[in-house]
Amino acid sequence: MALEPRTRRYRNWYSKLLRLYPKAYRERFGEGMEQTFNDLCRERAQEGKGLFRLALWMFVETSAGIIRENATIIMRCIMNRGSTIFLRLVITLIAIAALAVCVFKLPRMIAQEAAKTPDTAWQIYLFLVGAYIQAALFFFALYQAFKLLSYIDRNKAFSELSVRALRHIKHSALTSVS
Amino acid sequence: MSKNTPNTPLTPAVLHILLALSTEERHGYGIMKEVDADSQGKVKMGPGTLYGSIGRMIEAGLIRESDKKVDPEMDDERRVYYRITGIGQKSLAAELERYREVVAVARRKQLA
Repeated sequence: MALEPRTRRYRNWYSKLLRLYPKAYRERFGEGMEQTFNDLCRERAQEGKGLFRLALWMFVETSAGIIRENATIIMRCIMNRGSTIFLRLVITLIAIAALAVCVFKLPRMIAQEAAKTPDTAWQIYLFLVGAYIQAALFFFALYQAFKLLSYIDRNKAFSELSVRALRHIKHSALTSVS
Repeated sequence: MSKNTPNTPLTPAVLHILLALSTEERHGYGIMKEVDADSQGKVKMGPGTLYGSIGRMIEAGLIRESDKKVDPEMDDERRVYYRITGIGQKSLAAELERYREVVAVARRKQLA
């Protein structure tokens, strides 16, 4: 049976709307949803009723479903990655705090100490250089920890890459201590 | 979603879908029509709610996909049918028992 142009248009729009569902969901239920929409349109047409109200209701109802399914995917993603997200946040906060100390606090402290004892100021500046080298190692270790978390997210926790990241963290720590 | 146990309360949409599938396998449109008939037109379920619920019910083990078939009353494409599982039947029975208990309480209090 030839479709009325308006019905065909609604079906096309509905088909396009379904593209907003998450891919896995669309692949599983998209065809069935389209069929159901078509069945309802056909039923309405056979009853000689207009399609506008039905189509409007279906579009609104399906849009709510799209929001719900996408929100579910996002929530699952956050739940699965919750622990690593928390650790990333902690690493970022530590990095910001360390950077703030290096940029603002440390130079001021060194300048004050150098002003008090101008004769041995070179020793204090040497200490500053040492502190910055330590800080560089610390930031490098944080960066490696960040990389390690991304390997965990990609299910590569027990790979050569993660072992290398852990080795870099260990070397940074040992160099800092020695 | 983890597997449902019969003690897990069901949402109205899930209850209606299980009721619709309790007598025979149905496709999406068939479920919708049955829910409409069971509720005498009071429950209107669109494809968004229906297929969202179907997805969660499959994950919970309440229903499963049956083979693709052609509906003899519908001329066209092959369709996915859904059928209730053993867990689904137990969950439905437990939910109906809960409803019976609530109605019994309401009767005792002369509210129904």
